[in-house]
Amino acid sequence: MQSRRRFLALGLAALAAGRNLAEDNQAVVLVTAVGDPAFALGSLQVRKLFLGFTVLHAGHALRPVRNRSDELLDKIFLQHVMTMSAETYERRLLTMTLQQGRPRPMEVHSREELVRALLGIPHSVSFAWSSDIQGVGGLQTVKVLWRP
Amino acid sequence: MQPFAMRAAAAMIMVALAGPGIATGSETPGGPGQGELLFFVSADGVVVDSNSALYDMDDASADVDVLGSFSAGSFRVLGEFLLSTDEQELERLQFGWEVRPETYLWIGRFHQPASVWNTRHHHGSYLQPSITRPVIESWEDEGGVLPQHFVGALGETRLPLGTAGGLSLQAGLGAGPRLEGRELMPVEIYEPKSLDGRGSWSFRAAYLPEFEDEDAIGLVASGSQIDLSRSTYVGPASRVDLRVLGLFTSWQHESLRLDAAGYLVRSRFVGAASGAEDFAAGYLQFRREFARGLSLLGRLEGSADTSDSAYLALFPGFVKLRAIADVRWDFRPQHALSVEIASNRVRGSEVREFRLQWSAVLP
Repeated sequence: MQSRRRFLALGLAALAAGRNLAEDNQAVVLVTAVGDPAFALGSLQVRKLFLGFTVLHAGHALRPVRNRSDELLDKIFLQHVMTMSAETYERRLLTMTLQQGRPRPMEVHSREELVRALLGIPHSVSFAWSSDIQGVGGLQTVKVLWRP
Repeated sequence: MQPFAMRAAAAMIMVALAGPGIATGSETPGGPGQGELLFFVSADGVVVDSNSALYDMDDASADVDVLGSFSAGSFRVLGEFLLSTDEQELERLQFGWEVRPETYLWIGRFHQPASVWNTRHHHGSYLQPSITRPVIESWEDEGGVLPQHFVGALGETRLPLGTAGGLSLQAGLGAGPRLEGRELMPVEIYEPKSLDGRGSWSFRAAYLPEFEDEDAIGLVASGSQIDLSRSTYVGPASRVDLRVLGLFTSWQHESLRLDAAGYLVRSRFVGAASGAEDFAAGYLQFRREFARGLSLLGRLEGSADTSDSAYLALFPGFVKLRAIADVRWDFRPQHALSVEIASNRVRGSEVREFRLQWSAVLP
């Protein structure tokens, strides 16, 4: 498993270098609609949220939105936020649904869908490239999840 | 298909579609809730080799386990309906309320929480690591000796413990099965006659080293009063009181997973002169994952003091000793092929089984 993680990390680094992420100062950020300026979520809470557990903020259950608009973004999410392979993550979500009927995170496949979901679904939370949400009205960055 | 089965299948689909449009993890902006509709499908064949003609039966079957759920705010409804070449049954129908984060109260028909395997895998073949389940965890209609389905109330909670750990608690109370012929007959929601099943309870507690992970160590306990029919038992007793106490663990270390469970079962025939009798049964299972979606599983199942049990004598097909090896290949996302070889000892007979299964979850 350790060697597999190292291999994945090297792969991500190579991909990131290929996209000049470091030069662009790109980062993966946690994002939500503008509301509470003090909105904060720890790493463990983010992991719970995207596994389907109930995570409350100000008395409201947060709604996870999985951003699958970019392959590299999804890989970084799985490796650095969920710390598991894509297969394991999918199986965990299916297991949670089978056991207790928990809804799996909604998925979006483009920047436009992401913005529409975050602005349209109350208490929704997602992740994105920082450049993808720069200048988009009504959204706020909660925290940086990953930086090259 | 029976009229009930058609109605239940329709109800399952309605459960998942009752929300804003068709579901599978989707929702409409601002919609009132989220729905899921999953189809766990499988097809398998078994070739049996035995020195007893009683067990020498090859077979093939196909299953579709339809799982539907709909969540709106703190409320959730969950249904599981199994359609197979052998049966059609509404396995679970639960109406729940999340009273606080990760604390649920359910009413309806549910899988009793003292079954370690079944509360984890339910009827979803694709999510089971092996084709077969351990004998002591068998469903009632597969010759299972322990009650698995209750109709009543179920409470579940998962509490933080320490910095990262958790404590999982489940307790169920309701009507359990009766014994007819050589089979436990669970309570069916749609069959009013079966609702006179006697009281049963069930409990499970587990320590979770990581709150959100699947590793666990814990204990289970349950109690059931099982009515006996005259076609099953000739004697002075009218029912059996069954008590179960068990320990279990599930542990993952890198690509190796260990699962183990042991149950001590005490039975007492109420009204008979004989006292309580105990037997034990359990299993130890290792699974190793390899590259390219391959995994290898080995499981050893054993039991003790079964020969003297008057309760087990009511189940002539009970497997006392079993060893299985299972190879699984997840050849594409949400599709797997499995081969399983098993060696069983059933009432002095050696029974060898060779199974092949395709399983998947759709969409």
